[in-house]
Amino acid sequence: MKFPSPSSADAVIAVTELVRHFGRRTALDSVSLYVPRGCVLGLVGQNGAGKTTLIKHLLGGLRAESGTVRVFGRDPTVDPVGVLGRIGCLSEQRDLPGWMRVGELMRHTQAFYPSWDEEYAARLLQDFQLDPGQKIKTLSQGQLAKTGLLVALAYRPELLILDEPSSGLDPVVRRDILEAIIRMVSEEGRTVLFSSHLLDEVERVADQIVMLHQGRMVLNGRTDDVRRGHISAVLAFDDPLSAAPAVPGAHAVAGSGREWRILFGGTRPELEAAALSLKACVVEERTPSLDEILVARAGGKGG
Amino acid sequence: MQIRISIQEGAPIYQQIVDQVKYLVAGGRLRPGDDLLPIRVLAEQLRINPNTVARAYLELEREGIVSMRQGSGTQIAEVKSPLSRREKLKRLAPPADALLADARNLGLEFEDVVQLLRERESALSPKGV
Amino acid sequence: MRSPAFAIAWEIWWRHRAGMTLLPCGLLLCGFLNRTAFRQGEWAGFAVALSYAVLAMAMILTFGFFHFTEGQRKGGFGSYPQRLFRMPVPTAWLAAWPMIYGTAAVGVLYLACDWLMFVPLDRPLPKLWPCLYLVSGFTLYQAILWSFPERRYLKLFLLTLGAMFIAFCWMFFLPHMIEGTLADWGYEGSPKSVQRGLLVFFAATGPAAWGFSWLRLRGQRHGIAEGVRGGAAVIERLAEWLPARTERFASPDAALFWHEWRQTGFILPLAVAGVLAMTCIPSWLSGPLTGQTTMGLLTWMVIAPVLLAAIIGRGFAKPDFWSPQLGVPAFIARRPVSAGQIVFAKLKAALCSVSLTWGMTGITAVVWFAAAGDFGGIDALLAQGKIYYPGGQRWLLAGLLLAGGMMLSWRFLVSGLAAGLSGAKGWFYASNGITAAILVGILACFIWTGDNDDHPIRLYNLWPWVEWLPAILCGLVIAKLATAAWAWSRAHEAGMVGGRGVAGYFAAWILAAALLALAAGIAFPNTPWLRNLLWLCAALVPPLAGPGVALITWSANRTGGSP
Repeated sequence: MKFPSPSSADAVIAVTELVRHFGRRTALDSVSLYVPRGCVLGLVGQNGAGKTTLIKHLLGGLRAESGTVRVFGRDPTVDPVGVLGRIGCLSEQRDLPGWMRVGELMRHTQAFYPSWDEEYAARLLQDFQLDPGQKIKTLSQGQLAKTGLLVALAYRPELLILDEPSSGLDPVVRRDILEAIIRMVSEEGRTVLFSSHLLDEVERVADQIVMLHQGRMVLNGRTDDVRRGHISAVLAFDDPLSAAPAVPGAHAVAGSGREWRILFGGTRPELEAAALSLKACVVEERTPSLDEILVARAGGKGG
Repeated sequence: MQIRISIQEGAPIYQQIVDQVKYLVAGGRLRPGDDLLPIRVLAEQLRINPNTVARAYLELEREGIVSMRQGSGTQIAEVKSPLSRREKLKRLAPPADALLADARNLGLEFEDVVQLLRERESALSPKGV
Repeated sequence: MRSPAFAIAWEIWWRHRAGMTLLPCGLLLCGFLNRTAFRQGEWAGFAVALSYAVLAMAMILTFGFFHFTEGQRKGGFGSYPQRLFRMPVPTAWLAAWPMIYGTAAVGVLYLACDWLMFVPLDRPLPKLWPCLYLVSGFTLYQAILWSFPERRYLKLFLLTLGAMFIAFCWMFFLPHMIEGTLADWGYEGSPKSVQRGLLVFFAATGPAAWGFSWLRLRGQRHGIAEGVRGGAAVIERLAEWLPARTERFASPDAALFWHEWRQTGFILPLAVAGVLAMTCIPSWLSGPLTGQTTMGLLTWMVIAPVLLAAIIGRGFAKPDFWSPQLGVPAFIARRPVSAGQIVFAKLKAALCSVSLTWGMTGITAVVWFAAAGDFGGIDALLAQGKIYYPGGQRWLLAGLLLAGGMMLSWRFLVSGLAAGLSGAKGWFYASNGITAAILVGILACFIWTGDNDDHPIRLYNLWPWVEWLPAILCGLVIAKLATAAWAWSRAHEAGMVGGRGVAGYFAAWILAAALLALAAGIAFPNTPWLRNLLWLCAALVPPLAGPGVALITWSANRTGGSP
């Protein structure tokens, strides 16, 4: 699998030094991102970290204050028609008009995208068990999400952008949605960018993970590397400590007395070196889950 | 072919797939000539990225456990690994080291480890073989 | 929060604190002006009319402050705030407190306006019946808004009926009107008894509205099945029963048009239908009408679509008519369409809406006239018309006026597009305020001309600068054309619209303005100054600048919205 380089001409999404303020609040602080063709990128972070803002920039819903945003090599605010025709997206708000029926929504969406695949749409309709004659305002949350995903997938867009596709849904619907996304990912050249709070979903599906915290990008790498680049270890000191030790390279430190659990960002030799420098020894270590890594990097207690 | 992955475990997903396939082959549940599920199908079944499955299959092919052919998918390889016995033992050295280190850290004796290996061996071979 | 009453009061105050502080200041200012500047001479008469206008606007604002509703996700433009149902307060009080505050505010406002603005001009207003009248109107308004949470078309229909009822009832209290009307209807008794009966009716409406709302709110709170479900559901289903669309759309523009039409196209026809029902049915049932009344009602039937278009046009301009939000709905913004396609889809939907409305009005007027109108009376008036406009001119004039009415309707419907699509609340409210002020100002002029028969002379004396009027209008026309040229050329450069679309639109409206100018020429062949004024007004009618600016504002809104 090829991986991104900043000058990659194959980059479907190229964001460079993007900055955005809302009043005095900094929503995005110099965020740079490159997504090559065929990559599945998982965007994670706390609520309010800037994920939705970043996605809005990609869809042309916000103009960059400073920095550049290029999707398929073009600025989505300058050429919305050209860019949006190749993007399928599912918004968090589920803002489909209530009075339309599912079938009408499909016809309506079809009019805008010449690449609409009739058979594929019919198959999705069947797989998702949706009734084309049903009004959207009578759909449950799960059916609403599936409908939104259907009209985003049916024209086989080159880029799929999903903002919290599984939020508020039961596990059964989540599985269906994940399966549909994976099926689409299997096809050639489809790129997916999705933001999610469900980290096990992100880990299953994403090739690359990007974490935003308070508008800044704190993590950007391949999924495997992210996990293996961190160690959850317990350090044992000879004498009990009254305050959390400052361990160089650790993102979170917790505990009491003689044993302290840390989440360390780095390789095992680096961990041992750090422990040595504090005159402690490593008594337990394991690979942390993505959950723990992200909470640690977001919470940042100590280190 | 029943494969289970767990996100919470330490090992990366592709590694879990590799390990499980090896386990199934070693236990006789997958025999030489059996077809592995196509990449897309397994990815949909496990609900993971197809690239991860592809990577696992590539790793298995590299280790000689499966062979991938154009058009006919992935199959368990016929022939055993062409490595010499010494090389095979060298391959087993790191997991052995890890096992022994863990055992020592837990305070177990060497005899306990041997007992454990015997128990696991009998569990691995199906009854009657 | 010491008690629910206090909590509700605080909520009403806090939500509209800006408006509620500005309104009394505005009234005080008007009162001050009436006391000092407008007291003597020629201004006094005009000041009275203006005070009526201010009173009307203040009343509208107060209705808006105190109606105490919140929008819901699934539909309806506001119902009783559902979150209050979870409070440990009996439903009767939940219904009662906002009504009490609202009626108190309305009554106090009326009396305050009277004391501040009309008493200094030596024209004190009657006290009892308007208060009761306004109070009953407010409680009816609130009851309608609260009682039908998700049935928005029904609500709109009932509000239109109610508004019509309210708009005409006050005429029963004007001495010259009531005698004439009662004589028309063949009523033998004394006018006083009718008025007393109406007063009792108004007084009873308040508690009745409260009782009805209480029942409906109780049903909403506890999920009890409503008794009136059958009738309401029928109307609602009529409004929404349209066959599901199963064929493909020919183009993105067709899809956009269909969406706009289904979303907002029926609102104007429905509102006009309500008005027509309120006009035609009672007048038909009440027996033979005089020529005057027939002519008056026919005129009203022609004016109503234009007036309603101006009111509904405010909501039409919003990206989504039913929600109070001004932001662009992401559902539309994500589609690969240009700003030009969206704006033109709205324009086309407005055109269809207006056509349907006028078609309906025309047929209704003709049928009603045949069934209930007074041919004799009309004949007399038409004979007068023959004198002024010999030959076929009067028919041409009538036809042009009708066409003018249609154009005005369309114009009003789309006039607010630039503000609504911009997403800027301040601009939107300001634009609404200006439209409301103009409408009320025209109303004030009518009242004033009704009061004073020698109005042309008084007008001339009143405004020494009425000679500047043509210059002002010229300036407005030039500004309008300049804005239009700037906006459309900028949009064309940015690729939002095609040259042909713009050219076609301009050609259509220039033709329309020419027709209006022709009508003006025919109507007033002997007063060139009036005719020229009307020509300038005709040049102001076409909405050339509005949609052009709307293109710019919408594409700015699309890329610059708030989080």
